[in-house]
Amino acid sequence: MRDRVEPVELTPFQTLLRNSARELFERHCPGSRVRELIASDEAHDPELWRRFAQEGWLGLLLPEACDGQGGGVTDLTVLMEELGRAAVPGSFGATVCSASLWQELGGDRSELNRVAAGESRLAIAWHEAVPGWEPEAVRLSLDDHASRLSGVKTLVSGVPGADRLLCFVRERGELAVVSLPVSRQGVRIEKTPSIDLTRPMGQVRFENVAVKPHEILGRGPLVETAWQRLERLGTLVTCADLVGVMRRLVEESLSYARRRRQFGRPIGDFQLVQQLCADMLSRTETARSVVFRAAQAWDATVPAGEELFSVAKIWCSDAGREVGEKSIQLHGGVGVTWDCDLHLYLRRAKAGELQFGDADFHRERLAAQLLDD
Amino acid sequence: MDWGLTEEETQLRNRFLRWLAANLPSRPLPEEGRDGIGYWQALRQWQRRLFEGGWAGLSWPVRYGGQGASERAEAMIFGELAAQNVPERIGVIGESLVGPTLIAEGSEEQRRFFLPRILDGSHLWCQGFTEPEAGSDLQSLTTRAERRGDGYVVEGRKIWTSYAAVADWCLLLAKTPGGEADRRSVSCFLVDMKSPGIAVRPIRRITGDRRFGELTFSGVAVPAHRVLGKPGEGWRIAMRALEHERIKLGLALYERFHATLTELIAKVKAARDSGETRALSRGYRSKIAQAYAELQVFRAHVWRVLSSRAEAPASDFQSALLKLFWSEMNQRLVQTALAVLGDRAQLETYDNGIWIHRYLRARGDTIEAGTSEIMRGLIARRALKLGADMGNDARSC
Repeated sequence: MRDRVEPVELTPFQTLLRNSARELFERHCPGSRVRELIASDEAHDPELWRRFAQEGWLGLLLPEACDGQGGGVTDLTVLMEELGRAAVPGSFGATVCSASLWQELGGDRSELNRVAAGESRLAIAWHEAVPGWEPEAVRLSLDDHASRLSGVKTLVSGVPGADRLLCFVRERGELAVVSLPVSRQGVRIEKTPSIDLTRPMGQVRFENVAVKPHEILGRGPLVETAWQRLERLGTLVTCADLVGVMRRLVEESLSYARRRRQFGRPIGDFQLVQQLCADMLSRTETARSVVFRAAQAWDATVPAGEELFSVAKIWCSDAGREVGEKSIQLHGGVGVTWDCDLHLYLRRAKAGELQFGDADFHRERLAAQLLDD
Repeated sequence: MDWGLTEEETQLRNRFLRWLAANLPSRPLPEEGRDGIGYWQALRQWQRRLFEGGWAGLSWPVRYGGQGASERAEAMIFGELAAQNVPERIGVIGESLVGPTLIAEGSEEQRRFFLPRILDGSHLWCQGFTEPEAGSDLQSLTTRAERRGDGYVVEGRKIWTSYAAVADWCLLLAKTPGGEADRRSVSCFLVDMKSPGIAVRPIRRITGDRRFGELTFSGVAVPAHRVLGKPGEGWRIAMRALEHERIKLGLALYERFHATLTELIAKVKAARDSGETRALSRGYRSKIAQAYAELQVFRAHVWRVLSSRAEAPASDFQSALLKLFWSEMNQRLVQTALAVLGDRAQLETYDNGIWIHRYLRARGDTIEAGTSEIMRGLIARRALKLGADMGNDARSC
């Protein structure tokens, strides 16, 4: 079924990308390896990361001058789908998005070279005690001299493990981004166990941390625009990951429906089971179409595409969770056991649902665009 | 619809929009559900005008009077048409279902006779597939075409036939059992609706109109050269025709539903501006956003399927998936509309009853051309390879 549902509009480069990613993960990141990795704090695989760098994936979006590939977001979504499909642990998505923010704000090019080479991992700190996906939720402030930072950032994806943090803060009331190495004195990082075992998150405490002037990457409207773009990029990355998660769940469910016998025949013979599977496939295939479309809109910078990001997130958020839940239902008792991999995917789907705003958040945002003028 | 159109497609669209601006009927065409002779006449004239403008049979080969455009381009033009809130093309069954099937399977004589008449609107078609005892289980149809002399004689009944009252020709499925041949042998016929022995009884739908019909065939003679394709291949031909149609109409459906949602949003804004707050409450806002999101997902998916068809035939489950998706989506959309508009929407006098009509009409969406249950079964069998031992695919279309 895998090959029957491929879209044929992939470019030759995207086909190559998908095939090498799939092959790499099948060989180096099977379920057993995922299990080993999630037992560690960072869920990070240095060998896999080296391969990411070799393949040029860490710099996929970066310009060639930064050792990147100058690829498009459509290319990235093809890759993210494979990461989701294999539930690849670690902070690939977080690092790629962070690098993009870094570049957008004109940060030091040598850092991007290090990211592309796999020598530096980045993370973005958005949330605080009261989490929110709007800039208004950012309260953490630099001191009056813009040289010291004290406070807490929560739900930071990619820590522990990241080498550098890009942190949204306030500078004299304005939205700003500071970049800090995690090794800086006064930065305390603590893992906060969360639902997604494959992509750990942490809390970062800043205790009177010194911030150098060049570490403030930008402020004001520049950063507000960057926030918006980053949020959309993150939305697409998350949605593509969800599509991959859904595809794996559909594949697993089908295989189980054919294999598992009750009442003397495969449960896939029962129409109610077939219905469950057909709905899962329908959700997955349509999710794939809308994510692909939104990514193409981004690459062509089609102005009409603005609301398409909310559309994609609404659809993928609900679909990912629903497909995850249905696949567990289909697997019966075995589906609710720890040793069955399904929950790793359901957990990833649930985290993806929330990341960059859940369906209700985006429905309200979309409603504002449609109705409030 | 500005997504990745080719240069040619863009030019075609612009040419069409210019033509449309100059040729849209000055008086709005009557809405579906508003019965009467005027409705059919107006639609026939509209079909004729499309033909004269060169906008019929876009994807048909040039030698059969078409324009040789891609299916995607044709779907796009259907979409633009629907976006103008212009009622359906009355020749839709001929143009989208019978024509392409004739081009693929018909004899040269059939093509030369029928195709030009489909295009200019002089032949309207209906489809004689479903029977009183053969709905979802279409393969159990009992209408028979017995070989007699150099032709066939048809006996049987067909039901839920759209355009029954106005059609000139009927694409008919009937059993053609021959001596030693398979009892399941089914053939496809092109039947003149003026043939002696055909009776049409209108059936009233829940919307109140009489757009459905029941056809009775009593000793209807059909000449042998009016068999479409080879005798015994009717099943394959009919299923292919249906799938073809399901996909190509996707963009037109999108535009139709989009027009409905746009209308709803305009009403909500107008209500807000006149001081009503009800429709702006959070629950309704959320429903409207959800309806919009679903529409855009549908559009993205149709576009993907159409784009892949340009290069390679899409897997056949895609047509079932599309049908399942849009029919259930439209039911949710009209439900949202009625909820948002509130109690007054139940009045026949409110917007001339169009919202009630849309709600009731949408009930048929998940039934006609394959129920949602059958579509899910199809997806499970074809795409997912589940339950293959439940029988022939063909049984459930």
